[in-house]
Amino acid sequence: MQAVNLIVTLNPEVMQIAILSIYISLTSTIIASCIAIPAGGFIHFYDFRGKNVLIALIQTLYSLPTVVVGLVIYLIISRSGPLGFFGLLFTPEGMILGQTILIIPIMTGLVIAALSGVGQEIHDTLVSLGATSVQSIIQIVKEARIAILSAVILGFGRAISEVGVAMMIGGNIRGETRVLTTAIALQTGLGDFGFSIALGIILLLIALVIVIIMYLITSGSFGGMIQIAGGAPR
Amino acid sequence: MIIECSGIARTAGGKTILDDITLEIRNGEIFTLIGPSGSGKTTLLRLFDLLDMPSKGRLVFDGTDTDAPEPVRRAIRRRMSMVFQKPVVLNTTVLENVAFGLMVRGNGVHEAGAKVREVLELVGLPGFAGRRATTLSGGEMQRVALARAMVTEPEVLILDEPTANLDPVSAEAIEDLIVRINLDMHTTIILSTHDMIQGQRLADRMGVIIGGRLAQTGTINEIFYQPKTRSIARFVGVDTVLQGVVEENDRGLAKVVVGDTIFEALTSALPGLRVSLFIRPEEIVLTKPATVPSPTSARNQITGTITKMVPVGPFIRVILGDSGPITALITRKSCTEMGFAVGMQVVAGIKATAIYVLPDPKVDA
Repeated sequence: MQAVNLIVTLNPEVMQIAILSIYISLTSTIIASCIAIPAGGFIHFYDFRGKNVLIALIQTLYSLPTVVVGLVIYLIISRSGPLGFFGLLFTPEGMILGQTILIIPIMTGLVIAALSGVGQEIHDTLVSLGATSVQSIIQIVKEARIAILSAVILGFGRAISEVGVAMMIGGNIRGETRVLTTAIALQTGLGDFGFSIALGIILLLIALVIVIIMYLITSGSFGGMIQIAGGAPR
Repeated sequence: MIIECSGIARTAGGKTILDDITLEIRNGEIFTLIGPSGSGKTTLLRLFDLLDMPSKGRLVFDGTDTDAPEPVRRAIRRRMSMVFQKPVVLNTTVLENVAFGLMVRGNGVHEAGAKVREVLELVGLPGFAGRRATTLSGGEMQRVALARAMVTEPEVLILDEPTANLDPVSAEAIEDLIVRINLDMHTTIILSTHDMIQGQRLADRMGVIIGGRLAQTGTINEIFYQPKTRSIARFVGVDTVLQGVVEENDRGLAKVVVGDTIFEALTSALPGLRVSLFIRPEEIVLTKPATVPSPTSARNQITGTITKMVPVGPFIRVILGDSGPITALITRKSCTEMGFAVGMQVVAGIKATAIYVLPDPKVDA
């Protein structure tokens, strides 16, 4: 009852935590997309030595433990670490860095899978129609846009639901780096179940919104919108 | 000659798919490749469209050797179009699908839009421009693919079994369109099919591919009535192949002994020579033995017993056992009227001109 009350009354602290969570994870996802989509494209479209080994490595890193990323980033950005002078430890920016690194492998891997999902027959058709390699790549990326978007959304899901990086890099500082997952962990430890449940419900609602967006995209209802966003081939 | 290939082969994954293909495609003709599934038709068409490189041999397009750097190959490729067996559409609108070839050639949006609408009209899909291509039926998708291939006004249109996955009505619409493109735009058309009836309907000339080799090229009459080998004969629907010896030859009209039956056929083969007789099933007229005089002018009246009757759509394939086997194709209706049944004695009337005689040394196994 207390949980519902906290949400319905838009409790300022609850809202601040939720908004910070979304801000950090969304920023991480955008940065990771900017790296993972071109990287996945490069790995898919170009043949080089060790390609299969690299893909296997990326797939292994799908299950990269969040605490391992937390530990490594901690060592790098702490005062005595190589990037210590940036003062990123216990800041939202540090958390963004950690989450970005956490989700790059899974997003890259899924982008490769998305592009591989565009069949050879599409590639043949494009070449046969006289497309240059750049023109075919652009069209293949367009063909795979829904699967690529799913990769992005999945990356966001992993970022917002992880607790290891947020706890170790952010430090769960109230009003500064406290996010949904770390707050739930703390409040539960303190026995403040109402607060925890409220945050848990918000986390689930965010997941639900993600699922709905994914459903709308894959069922094609967003087709026209993506079309416009992606731009017609003209 | 728009395409000339000499001695081309294609090896993939250590397996030879095509070997020693020497062939010329003439300007403005409809050339059909026929052959069983897996005989290498698609592989050859892909070589023609410069999607793959031959492992051996020379492929020349309109005087230019195609063993050239990619920009040259692309320039040649842009003078052709190919429609694949499985309908392939891009996951976008019909308009953008059909316009793709124009866009990559740098055409403007307005010019392309007008051309696309014109071509969609031609393939029978007016008003489809705004539809999502992936939601169309198989036949519609194939027509989109055809429109996309046509819109660039290619000199050569390559079609890989374009109607293989379509219902008879859609298939006929596509066939009509192919003929119309050839007539109106003088486009050279290279088509593959495993359906010899379709091949016959569309082609000026045909090539038969069996086991990765070009077994025979020629006009429809040459291929259907004078197959070079027994496997070609089998494939083009010559069901009756009999072996015999020429007994006498009177200025081209020969008597050939097959078992204890004598066939009269036209050939220059000299007496004593071993020959094969090829007879198409639809050239054989079956009658009851009692019918006197014979209602046909056929020189050969062969009596035999019906050993098997196989329905083939509106036709029935009747196989006579005694001096054969001889296979005839008659309509279901006439079969009922004549009251044919297994075990019955009938007379097969075959004109001397309906028998193609091939001297044996040329016959393969």
